[in-house]
Amino acid sequence: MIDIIKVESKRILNKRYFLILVGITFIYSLFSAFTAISHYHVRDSSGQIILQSWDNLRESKTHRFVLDEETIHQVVAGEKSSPYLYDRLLTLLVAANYDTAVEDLTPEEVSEFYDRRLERVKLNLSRMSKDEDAQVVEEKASWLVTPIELGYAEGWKNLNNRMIDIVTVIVLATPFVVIPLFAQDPKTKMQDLSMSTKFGKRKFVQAKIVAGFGVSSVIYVTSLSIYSLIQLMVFGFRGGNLPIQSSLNDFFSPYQLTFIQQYFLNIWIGWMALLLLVALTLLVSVLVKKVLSTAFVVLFLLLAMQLTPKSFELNYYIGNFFPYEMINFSAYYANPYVYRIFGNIIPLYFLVMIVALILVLVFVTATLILSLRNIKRPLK
Amino acid sequence: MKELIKFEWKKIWQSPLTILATLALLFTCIVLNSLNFSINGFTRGESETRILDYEYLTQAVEELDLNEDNINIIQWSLPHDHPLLAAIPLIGFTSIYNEDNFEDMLTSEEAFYEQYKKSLSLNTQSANDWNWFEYTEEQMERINERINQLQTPLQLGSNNGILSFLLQYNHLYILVLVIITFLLSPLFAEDSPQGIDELTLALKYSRKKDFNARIITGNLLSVTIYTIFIACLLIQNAFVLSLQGWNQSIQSLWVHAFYNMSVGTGVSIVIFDGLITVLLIANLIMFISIKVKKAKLTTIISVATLGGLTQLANTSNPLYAQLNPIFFATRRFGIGANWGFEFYLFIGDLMIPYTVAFIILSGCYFIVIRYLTIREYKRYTLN
Repeated sequence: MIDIIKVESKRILNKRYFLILVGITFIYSLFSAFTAISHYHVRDSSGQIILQSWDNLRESKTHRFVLDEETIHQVVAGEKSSPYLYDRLLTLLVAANYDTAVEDLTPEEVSEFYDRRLERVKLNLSRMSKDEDAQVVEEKASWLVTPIELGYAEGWKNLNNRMIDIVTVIVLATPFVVIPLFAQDPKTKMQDLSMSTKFGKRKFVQAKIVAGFGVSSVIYVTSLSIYSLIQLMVFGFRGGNLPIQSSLNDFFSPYQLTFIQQYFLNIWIGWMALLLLVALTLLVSVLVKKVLSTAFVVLFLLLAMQLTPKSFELNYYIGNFFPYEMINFSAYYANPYVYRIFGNIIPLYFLVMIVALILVLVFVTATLILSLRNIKRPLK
Repeated sequence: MKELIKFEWKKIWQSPLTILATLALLFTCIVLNSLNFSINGFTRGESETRILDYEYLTQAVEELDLNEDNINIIQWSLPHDHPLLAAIPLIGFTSIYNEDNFEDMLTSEEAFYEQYKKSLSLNTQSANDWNWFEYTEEQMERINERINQLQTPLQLGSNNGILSFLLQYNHLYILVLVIITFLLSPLFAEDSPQGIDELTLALKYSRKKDFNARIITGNLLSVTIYTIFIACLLIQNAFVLSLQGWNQSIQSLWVHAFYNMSVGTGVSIVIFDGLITVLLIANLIMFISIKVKKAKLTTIISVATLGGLTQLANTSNPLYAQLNPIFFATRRFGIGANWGFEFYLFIGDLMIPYTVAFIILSGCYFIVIRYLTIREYKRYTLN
């Protein structure tokens, strides 16, 4: 069995192409990291750089503090107005919570900081849930930990925010690699050969399925490891245990997660989206049997999913579970849809994993049954 | 030659991919449009076509209590089949450039259309700021002359079906291009059953004939797929929303246009321009196929090219946008994109509407692709 898996894996992805992929990922990761670095330059009004990004980041690494009333009072008094990252982020986070300018905040408004934030979180949640769920959801939002701890976590922040680009390319392109497993190339006669064997048809099909998932997982893990390592090596590994609410993007997130938890959630969801697409591709290749036709159907399906109209109801029931939407990571944390199933609130990031897993099992079972039937039937 | 074309045509339709692609197109269009209908909330408009005269203007202002504050937002709160809805975009557009009071432009039919024509002129100038060239004073004079030739009063009415058709056309057009990419990639491939084999190349005088027959078949196939697409959209919209409004003034849908033509003519031009783009892409794909000779590699390169062209159409550079056929085919209608019916290019004294310029540009692209393709006929060898 293992031999068949190895042979099938090498058939769809040989060493040369794998190394090319590693090389491209490496170059892209470097490019992405250095583009991200340039966003940390501080410029004056004429566009001149007054603080280099390296200095900005190096200085900010040592600052770690709590966003409590005292800190906010310092912001209001203008004591936290240096151009460095830790002060700028702090000011932005405070400003995000109010409609008025930070300097004009009254002591009463300052003391209400976390209550205001909670109100906003509840409002977002009620907008993203069905009417009957809104009240239950609002009650649940109260268990957010306050005050928020702030500190340097740029490695994890950049990684979590920017990984969507590389994950999208890998998840959408890799399924095309597994098409030759079941689809017949007109030049080779694999189908005839496999039909002529007496034993091992089921083993053969199972090995192909394992090879399909295996190869695509290897591509995914390799690419994401290279990308993650480079981002973290450039920006630093610290701050992974800070809450995601310390980032401006996720300040109003209702989920109590750290950056490391967010990272692993993203990785896992990306992997599930990939498996879903691979399972779908394998099924289509068994149904359609020709390489180009399979590629067409898969691409067309992806396009059709992308062109599906977006509305709250459609997204709620179907849209959020499309692979392309699944890997839109920011949608899980900042302003997430809310689902209540059997009386329990389930975060969307768990729900998509469960739905994807069920669909993968359905597609794989169908692939197995149909493929065996193809082999056992006489040649057309 | 006709026999050869018929033979190639039958061959291409016998391929399972062609049938699969056609069914996929139909199925996807029907399903996605049905979802669209339920979301857009468009309804069958029952109001008849009316002339936008003084009586219509007064009725709209009194019944809807129009003023300069609500004129540009009220249309979103009216139901889609409201009998007075058709006039709102025009009145709104006119009031944007109105320097006097809102009521002054509504004192008479002449006053309204005078202000409308002024608004058209000012809009053209301000839209020109985005462009890669600037109209000179003399050119603006000539544009103003053309605007003054606009025949008024205009005919307006309910046209939800046509509006829905245009929006769906814009949205789903890319599907046609993707299908054509896959169907035409194997046409000149040496490793495909529909492609070229030794027999095709063996005869001395038939190579050119055979290749031309394939090119013609490829173009015919593209036209067929596009026709199926347009027919599907038109039938669905006719059935659900009705396609009334063909004889209304083009300003009923393209508020900034200053042609004297009907909605029907405008929509026909949009469909025709879309067809030109489809044929351009088809011939480009066939050229790639004849150059690359391998079906799978051609498909990958063609899909990447199509993806690249589509991405380039999102540019903010006006020159690159106008040179890109996909931009023109898919930006003719939508929020903020009333395109091409008010846009002129000047070559010396010659005033060319962009619609015509696009046809000439496409013709140039076509000649280049055709020349490059013919050059490959003699060079084609099997590996």
